[in-house]
Amino acid sequence: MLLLLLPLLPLLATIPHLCSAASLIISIPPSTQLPNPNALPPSTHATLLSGVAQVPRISTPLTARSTIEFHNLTRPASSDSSAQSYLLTISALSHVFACYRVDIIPGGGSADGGAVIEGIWETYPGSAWSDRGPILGGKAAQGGGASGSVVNSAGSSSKGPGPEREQEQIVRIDAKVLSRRDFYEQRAGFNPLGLLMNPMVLLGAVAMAITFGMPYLMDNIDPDLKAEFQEQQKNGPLAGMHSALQAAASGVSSSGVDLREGGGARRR
Amino acid sequence: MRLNALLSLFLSSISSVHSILADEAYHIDYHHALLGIPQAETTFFHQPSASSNASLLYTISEKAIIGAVNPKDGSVVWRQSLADPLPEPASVVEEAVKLPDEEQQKALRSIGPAKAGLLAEEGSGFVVSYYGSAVSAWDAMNGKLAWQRLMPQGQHVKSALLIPSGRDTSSSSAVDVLVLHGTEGGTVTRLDASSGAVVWEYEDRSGASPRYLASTKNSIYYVSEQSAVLAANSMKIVSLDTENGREDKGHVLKVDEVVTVTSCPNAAFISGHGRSPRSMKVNVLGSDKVNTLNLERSNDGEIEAVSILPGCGDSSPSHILVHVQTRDGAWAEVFNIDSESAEVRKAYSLPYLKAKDAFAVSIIDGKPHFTRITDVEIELYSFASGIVVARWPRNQPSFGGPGHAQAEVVLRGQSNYAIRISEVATGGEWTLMRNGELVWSRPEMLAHVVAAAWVDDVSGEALAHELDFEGHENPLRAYTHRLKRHLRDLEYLPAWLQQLPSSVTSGLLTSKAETEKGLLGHKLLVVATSTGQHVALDPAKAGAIKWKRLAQAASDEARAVSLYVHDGVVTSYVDRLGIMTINATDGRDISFDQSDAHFTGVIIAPGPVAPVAYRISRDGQPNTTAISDVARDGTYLVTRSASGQEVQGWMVGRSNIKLWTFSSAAGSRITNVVARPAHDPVSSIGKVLGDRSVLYKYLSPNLVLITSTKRDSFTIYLLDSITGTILYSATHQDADTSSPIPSVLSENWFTYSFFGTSDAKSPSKCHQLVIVELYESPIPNDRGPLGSSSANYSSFSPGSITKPHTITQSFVITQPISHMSVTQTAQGITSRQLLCTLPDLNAIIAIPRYLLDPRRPVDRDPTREEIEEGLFRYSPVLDLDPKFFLSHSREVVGIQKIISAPTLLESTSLVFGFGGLDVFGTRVTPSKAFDVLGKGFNKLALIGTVAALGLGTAVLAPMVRRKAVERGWRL
Repeated sequence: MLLLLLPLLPLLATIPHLCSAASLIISIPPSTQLPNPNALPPSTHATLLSGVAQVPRISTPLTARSTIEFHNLTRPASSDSSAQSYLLTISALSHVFACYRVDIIPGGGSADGGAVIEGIWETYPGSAWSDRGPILGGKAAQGGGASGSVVNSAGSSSKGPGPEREQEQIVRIDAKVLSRRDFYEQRAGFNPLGLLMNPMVLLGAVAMAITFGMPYLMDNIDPDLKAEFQEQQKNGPLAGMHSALQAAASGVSSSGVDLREGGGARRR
Repeated sequence: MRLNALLSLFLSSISSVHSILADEAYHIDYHHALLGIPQAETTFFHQPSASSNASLLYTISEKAIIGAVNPKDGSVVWRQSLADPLPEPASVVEEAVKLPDEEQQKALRSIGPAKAGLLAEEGSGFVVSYYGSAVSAWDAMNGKLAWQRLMPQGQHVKSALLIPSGRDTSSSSAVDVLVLHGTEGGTVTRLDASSGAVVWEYEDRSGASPRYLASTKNSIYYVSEQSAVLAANSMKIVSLDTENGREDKGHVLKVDEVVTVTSCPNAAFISGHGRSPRSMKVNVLGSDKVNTLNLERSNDGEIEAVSILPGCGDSSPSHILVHVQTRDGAWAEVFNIDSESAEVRKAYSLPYLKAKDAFAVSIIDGKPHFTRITDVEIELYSFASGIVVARWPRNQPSFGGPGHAQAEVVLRGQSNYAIRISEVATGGEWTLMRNGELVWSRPEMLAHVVAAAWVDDVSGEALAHELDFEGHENPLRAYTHRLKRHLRDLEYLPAWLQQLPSSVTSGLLTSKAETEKGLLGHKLLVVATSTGQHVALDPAKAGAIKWKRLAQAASDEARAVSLYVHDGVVTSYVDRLGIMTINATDGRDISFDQSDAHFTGVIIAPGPVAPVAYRISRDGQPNTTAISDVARDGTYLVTRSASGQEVQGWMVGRSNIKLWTFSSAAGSRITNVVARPAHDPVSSIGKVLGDRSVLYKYLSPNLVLITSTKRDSFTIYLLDSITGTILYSATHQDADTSSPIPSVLSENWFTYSFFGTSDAKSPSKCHQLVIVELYESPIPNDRGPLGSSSANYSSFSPGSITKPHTITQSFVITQPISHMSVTQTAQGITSRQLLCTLPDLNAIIAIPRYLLDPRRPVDRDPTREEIEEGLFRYSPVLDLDPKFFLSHSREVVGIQKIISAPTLLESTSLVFGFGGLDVFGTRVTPSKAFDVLGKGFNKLALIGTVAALGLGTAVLAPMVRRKAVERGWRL
C-alpha cells in the first residue's frame, strides 16, 4: 500500500491559501546509527519552537515515508518582528537527532502573510544562536553551493476551482542522527576471575600452597640441606620467640617495657 | 546527626550513576498505556491490510487520541494524539497572559468545540481521522502519518465521509475523502484519499452554518442549518454531484431539536426528535416526505434517550435500529427504509428489558444482525425474523453498565455463530468478550486521573500501638500488659508451627521479587478521576486494579478532586459534589456528604483531634467544613486565588486571619506555587566540605516558591510563608511563557526549567534548568545571624528573618520539561533525584542531584578537596543520559504529575506518574540499593562457598591437629 502511495507524493499540496507559504520536508535517511528509518516509532515528531509566547509551537508527526513534513509555514500574524527564528527539534525515543535553526522571513511575492524559509542551519545546544553550522537549505542557500537541495515549485496539483495559487517554496533537508539511546545497563554477572582477584582469596591461596606444598618440598629436598634448615629453625626466630615468651612470663625481659605498655592499654 | 551526615556523604560518593538494569526493566515498573474512553461513533473493528484476515480495534477517544488495539490481548498497537499538533489560534495562547477580548471570545465560540471522527474502508490500508481543523490519514498498521491537510485557520471540520473514488484502483485509492468545514457557509472538499490532494470543492455562500454530510452510492448530501433569525430549526439539504461537486438540487426541511444524519449505500436519511422523544421524524434525503415514527409504549415510563444504529446491508431496503431507553429499561424498534418510495416502515420491536443494555450491528452475508448486550447475557437477533438466533451468558457484568459496543459475528455452517464484542462500559472500562467470556479489559477511566494518594498498610499499626502503650506505662503494668499480649499471641502458635516447614522451604525457593515486596511495605495507590471515580492500584502487582468505585453521581464534567488518606480511610473532596469517605482496603463507601462544596483546592491541616480539611474558595479564602472543626491554633496556610492574581498567607484556628497578600505585578499572573513536600526529612543540617568544614544549609519548613509570568518574562519568588517576606527573586527576560515553567522545592534547594534565550547579548534558544541552593552563610563553619546565641530568633517577626545565601547554576538541556518532582525516602539519607516529565519523548527521567550541584567549579578543574566532595567541572550542557530514563523504552504519554513515597527501605522510593493519559509507576534507588541484596546476589553461590569452606576445614582440621601433635613431640 505504501508503495502505491509513493508515486503520488509530489501531488501533496496545501489547501488553497491566499498567501504563499513555505514547506519544510525533513527526510530521515538510513545511517549507521539508524539502518532502518522505518523502525522509528510512530510517536516520532518534529517541533518548531520560537521561544516567543505569542508564536505557537508547531509540531508534526513522522510520515510513513520516513519524512517529517511541515506544510503551510507562515509568519505568525501577531509577531512584532519581521523575521522569526525557530528551534527545530526532532524527538524520537529511540534516537537522538541534531537540532536545527530555521529562519522564516516575509516574502514569497504577496504583500502580507507570505513567508519564505530564509535558511536552515544545524545548531548546537549550549552555544550562541549565531554559532551555527553550514547552511543546509532555504533561500539563502541558493546563492552558495550548499549541500541541501532547494526546490521551488509552482503549485501545480490544483485540479478543482479555487483561488489562484502563488509560488510555493519547498525546502528539503536530511536529518542527522547523533546517537541511539541505550537505556539499559547489563548487570555484572558472577565472574570467577574477579573472585580470584580478591586479596582475601589470594592470601588464602598462598596459605593453602604453603600448607600443602611445604611438606612435599621438605620431602623432596636434599637430606643434608634439610638437616641444616631444621637446625636453623631451632635457633631461628621461632626459638627466639619461645625464649621471649618465657621471659615475659617471669616478668624480666629485655623487651619488657613494650609488653607492659600493651598490658596497660588492655586494662584501660 | 553526625552519623547521618557521614552516611549521606558516603552515599553521595558511591552513587555514581543509578541506571535501569536490563533484568529489572519491565519487572519493577508498570504502565497502563491508555487511549481514553472510546467514543461510540469512532470505535470499530477494521482489517488493516487486505492480505490478512486479522482485524484491529480502532478508536478515537474522548481525549482525542486515535489508536489501534490488538483484539487478542488488548495491547496498544499504535496511538497518536490528534489534539497536539494542531496550531491553535493565537488568541488561545495569549490567554496565558491576558484573557481574550470579547471579539476573540466570540470568534472562538463560533468555531465550536473540535469534533472528532474516524473513517476506514476495508482493504485501503489506512484510516482517516478528522479533529479540529485537520484531516489526517494514518497508516493502519503502524500509525504513521500518510498525509495531513489543515483547513484554513478557525474552521473546524464538521463532518467527513469516504466515498468510492470510481478511478482505476491499481494506481490510486479505491476511496476518496469528503470533508465539510467552515463556520458561516460551509465548504465541501473531495480529497484523493491516497495523497490528500483536492479533487473538487463546493462552496456554500448562503451563510448557513454547515452541519452534516451524507452520501449514498449515487449522490452526496450537504446539510446546513439555516440561521435562527430566518427560520428556526430548519435544515437546508443540497445534493451534490459526486463527479464535479456541482449543486444538483436543494430543499429546506423543518426538523426538531436533536438531529442525526446517517448514510447507507442505498439511502441516506436525517432523523430528528424533540427533547422528550415520543416520536421521531425521519426523512430520506433526496425526497420531501417526512415519516413520523411512534416510539411510545404503554406504561414504560418517560423515554430518556434515543439512539439510531444503521444496519446498512448492500441490498435494499436499508434498516435502522432505534434504541429507546427509559429510566428503568430499554427496548429497540427496527424499521425498514425503502429508498425508492422514501418510506420508513416499522418491521418489528425487540422486547423490553428492565435492564441497561447496548446494541451493536454486524453484517453477515450482507444482512444486518443485531447484538444486544446486558449485564447478564449477550443475545444475537437475526434481522429477518427478529428472533434470537444465539445466546451467550456473560461471566462478568460490565463496570457501571453497558455503554456502547461493537460486535464482530462469524457464522460457521448453518447456525453456529461465534461473536467477539468490544464493549465500553459506562464506568470507562473497555473490555473484549469472546462468546461471553472476558478476554481482556482496559481501565480507560485511568486516563482521567486527577489525584492520587498512597495508602499505607494499616495491619501492623495495632502492634505499634500496643508497643507504644508499653513504653509509656509504669514497669509493672507494662510487664503485665506484655505478658497478656504474649499469651494472646500463643493462640496463633500452632498455625505458625504448621506452616513453618513450608515457609522455610519457600523462603529458599521464592523469587527475589516476593521477598522484596515484603521489604518495601504493602502500599496501595488510590486514584480519583475527574469524573468522580475511585480506583485502587497495587504497585506490588504491576499496577493491577485492586478495587474500583463508580462515581456517586453520574456526570461528565471535569472536577477538581483532592484525596486524603488517614488510618486506612480515603477521604475524597470532589468539587461541586461533596465529600466521600471510602475504605482503602476494599473500596466500600463509608459515608457520602453531599454538602454544597465549591472549591479550587483542599488543604489538610493538623487539628486538635483529627486533621481538618480547609477548602479554598475561588478568591483564596480557606473555609472549614464544620464551624467547630478547626485546626490547632497557630496553623499557617498559603492559598492562591483562582484568577492567579494573589497569593495569601493565613493563620487559621478558632479564627482565620489573613496575614499577608502577595500580589502579582501589573500584567503578570501567578502560574505556579510550590512548597516543600509534606514528607521531606533532612538528614544533615550542613554540607561537609573537602576540608572538613561545614556549610550550613538554610532549612526552613516555611518556604513557598512562586512563579509569576508576564508576556515574555517570568519571575521566581521565594517567600517565607509566615511573614510573607521575599527571600529571593530572579527574573528571566525573553522566556517562552506559553510553555510550562515547572519548579520544585525541597530541602535547601529549588529548581525550575523554561525555554528562552539565555542572555540578551548572545541569545540562544534553548531549554534551561536552573538550580538554586540556599545556605545560612557563604562562609564555612559560620551560621550567620543564627549562630550568635545572644540574638533572639523568631520566625514570626518579619524583622528577624534572615535572607539565605544563594548559589545558582544554570544548565542547558536538550529536552523540555513539563513537570518536576523529587524522590522521597524514609530518613532523607539517600541522595535525592529530580523526577522530570519529558513530554516530547513521552518519558520520565530521574536526574541525580549531584549533577545539579551549583558549586561545580566553572572554567577550571576541581581541586583535590572538591574532588573529595564529589564535585566535578561545570559544563553548560546537561546531558540527559538515556540511563536516567525511568520509563526506559516505554512510551509514557501525557504525565502531568509525579508523586513519590518512601518505603520501609531507606534506599528505595516509590514513584507514580499520572494526569494526562497514561499512568506509570516504578521504584527508584537513587544511591543504589545499599540496604537490600540485588538481583546479582546468588544464593546458590553463597551456599556453595560456605559448603566448600566447611569441606576445606573438615579436610584440613585433622591435618593441622596431627601437625600440632607432631610438633609437640618434637619440642
